[in-house]
Amino acid sequence: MIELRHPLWLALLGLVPALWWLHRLRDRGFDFPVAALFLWQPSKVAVSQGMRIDTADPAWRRRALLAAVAALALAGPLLHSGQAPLTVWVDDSPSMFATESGTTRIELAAAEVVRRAQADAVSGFTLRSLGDPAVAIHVDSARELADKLTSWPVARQNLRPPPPVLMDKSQRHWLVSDGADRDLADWSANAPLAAIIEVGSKRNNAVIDAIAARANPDNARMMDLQFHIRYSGSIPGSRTLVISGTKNPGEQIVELAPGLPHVVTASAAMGQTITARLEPPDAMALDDSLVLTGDASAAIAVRIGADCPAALTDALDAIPGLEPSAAPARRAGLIVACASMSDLPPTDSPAVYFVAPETGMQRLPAPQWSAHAGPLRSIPVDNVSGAEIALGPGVAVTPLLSADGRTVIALHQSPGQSPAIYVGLAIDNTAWTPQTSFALLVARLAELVTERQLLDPVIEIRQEVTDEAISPRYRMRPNVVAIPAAESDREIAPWLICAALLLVLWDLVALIAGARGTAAPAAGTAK
Amino acid sequence: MAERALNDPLAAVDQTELKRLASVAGKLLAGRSSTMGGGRPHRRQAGRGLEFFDHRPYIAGDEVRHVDWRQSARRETPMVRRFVHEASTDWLVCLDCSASMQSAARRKWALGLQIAAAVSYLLLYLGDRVAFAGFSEDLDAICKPGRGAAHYTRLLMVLRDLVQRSGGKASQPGACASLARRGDAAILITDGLRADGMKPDIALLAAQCAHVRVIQLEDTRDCRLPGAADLRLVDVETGMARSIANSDALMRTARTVRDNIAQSLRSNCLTHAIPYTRVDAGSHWRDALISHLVPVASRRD
Repeated sequence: MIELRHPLWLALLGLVPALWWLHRLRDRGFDFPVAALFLWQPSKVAVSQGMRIDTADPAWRRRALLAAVAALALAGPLLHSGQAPLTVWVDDSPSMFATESGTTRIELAAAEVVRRAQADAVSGFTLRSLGDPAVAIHVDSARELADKLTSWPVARQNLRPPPPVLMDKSQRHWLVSDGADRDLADWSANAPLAAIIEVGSKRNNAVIDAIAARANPDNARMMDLQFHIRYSGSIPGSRTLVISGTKNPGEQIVELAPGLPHVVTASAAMGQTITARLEPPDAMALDDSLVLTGDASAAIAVRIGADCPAALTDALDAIPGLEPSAAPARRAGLIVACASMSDLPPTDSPAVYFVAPETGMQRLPAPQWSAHAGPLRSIPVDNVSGAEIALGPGVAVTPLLSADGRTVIALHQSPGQSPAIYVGLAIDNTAWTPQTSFALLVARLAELVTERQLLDPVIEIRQEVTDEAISPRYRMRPNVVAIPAAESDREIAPWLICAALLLVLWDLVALIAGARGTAAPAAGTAK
Repeated sequence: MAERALNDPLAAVDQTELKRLASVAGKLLAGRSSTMGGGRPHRRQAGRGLEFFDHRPYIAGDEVRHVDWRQSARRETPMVRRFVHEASTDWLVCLDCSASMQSAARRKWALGLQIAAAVSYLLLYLGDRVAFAGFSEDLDAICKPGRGAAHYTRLLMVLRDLVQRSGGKASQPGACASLARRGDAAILITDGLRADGMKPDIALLAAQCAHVRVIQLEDTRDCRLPGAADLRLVDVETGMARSIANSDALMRTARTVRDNIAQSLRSNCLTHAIPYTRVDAGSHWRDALISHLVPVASRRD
């Protein structure tokens, strides 16, 4: 496509008729002396009538063409060649992989990029990820571009606008995005982008953002549930939340207001699998359902050794997240045993061993928790008797509680094996075990070894992709910064000037040839 | 001697060749007057007659009875007697000095000068009196009648002065009629480029002179144009101009027109029983002269 920067110069084309008229006013050709003029009697010659002849000098066409070419050159024509190098910045956030009408947004973007590239006759592309702007992929054809985009991986990092140094102004830059990222939308307002290809037309997305479960304080076997729903529509809407696995399964209509969070509560038995689904599903069904598995909320079965005192059994039984179990068929999630070091039962489950010393207990002088103890460090262990834990030479342990340089509580974890905590404290101390500190110590040890929150378990499961990442909430700014013409377009004026010079040369050659052709025969008459 | 001071093209008229041609011309004319209808008896010319004219070396074909044995013995070479021709004439050589003769590289002009010189030599050699007139619209150069080698030199000087002279205007050969006396012979050397075929002028000369000859010089370059597409043709005689678009058809038309004019001139000559020869400007003066004389000799024989 050709654009004229100074089209007023085209008014010079109005001089072409004047050129024709001027060429009628002069004699045509060179003077050539002949012996007798009456010999030359063509039927259609322009007979000289003073200075005026009937037909114009044919050279007027050449000169009119010269004038036209000069006028065009002055008009500053620009050729939008479409051949400038093109960099396509790809928004590869998870939202770009949301499906709309059976096609992911990035596939839609690939199709649009290919269509525009073919329309602009772009031949070379550089694809850059907004998740990692340093990565550049060069492709040569639109087909290869489509293949690369459709197989584009999800960004491993958060999106970030590219650094200015990568926005080379000698190239054209296109942005492919769904407008789900606020920073990217803000950046696009002032970035030197030649085009923004925005995909993701669905903007009434509702998402089950999270399901949170917590043990009921009144009934440890039950859990209270919260369903967090977010809505990114621009006008109020409604959905039906279909819940299964709860105490009262059913449907609940949720009125959704734009931009506000919505929470729906329910209760269910511990360990129950909870499924929540929004009806009707919107175009982006990826985030319309969420499942809280029963394993996440079920109590851990704990097998308590027969030699353990009642105080320990009571303490374990009081932990909401544990369920004492004596059934040998059920795999225990936690083993608690009380025996001498040599009599401890082997297990592949996490275990807490209360070790009976061989030599007898001693009051611990100034016991100290180690840095690895975590929440245990707040538990007072003063006036407690105990003995050193000795697992034998070559066995690596992590000391949790030490006294006088001797390890009293140790964590042992070998690669590929479940962790085990060895406790050298005396648990037959009737003065200490009824105290809250003992029950708290047992609970924290169980939490540490099972790596679960057992005292007040709050289970939360969230969408892998957040509402903000999925919903195309932020529209790209329309004020696209154009690439300067001089950097993306091709000037035609130099070519036209060359053509004009060639025309001038042609005219001169024609004049000289005519003069020489006339001068040679005329030389004889000059003497 | 006159050759030394001559410039081209008159320098090309070699006297040795002229003498050789004169002997041939003498044979062609069989020693008779170059006129075909007689002439004035009182004019002195070597030929058949009773009055002694001079001696000359014997050449093959001479009658033995004309050998002057006394002179031959004295000069130790065969000599024959020549007699005053009873029919020797006065000739007027008319050369067209118009500008058209000098166009197209002046080939016609050069050949015209050479033919004028050669004809004059031959006529003088044959004993005739020769006058010269260069004409265009008027008489541009005149050489009074004369006889002998000295007159030939005078003629060459007049022709030499004409060599460098620029062309005059239109061809008016009738202007020469004022120089001719009734009974004279005239030879007209012209390119004949006049739209009327010089009909009135030919008629005027034929009426004034007892005998007229016409040698028309033509140059193919007169009908040729340079390569330029557009030209403004200027008549060298009239100065009139005409703009034309060059083409082969135009040049073909010009050749046709020229041929028609030549045919018209020839017809005029035939009407007045005037010998007419059309000579190409590229020819040698000797060939041109022979081509004009041979038909004459053939007719006489």
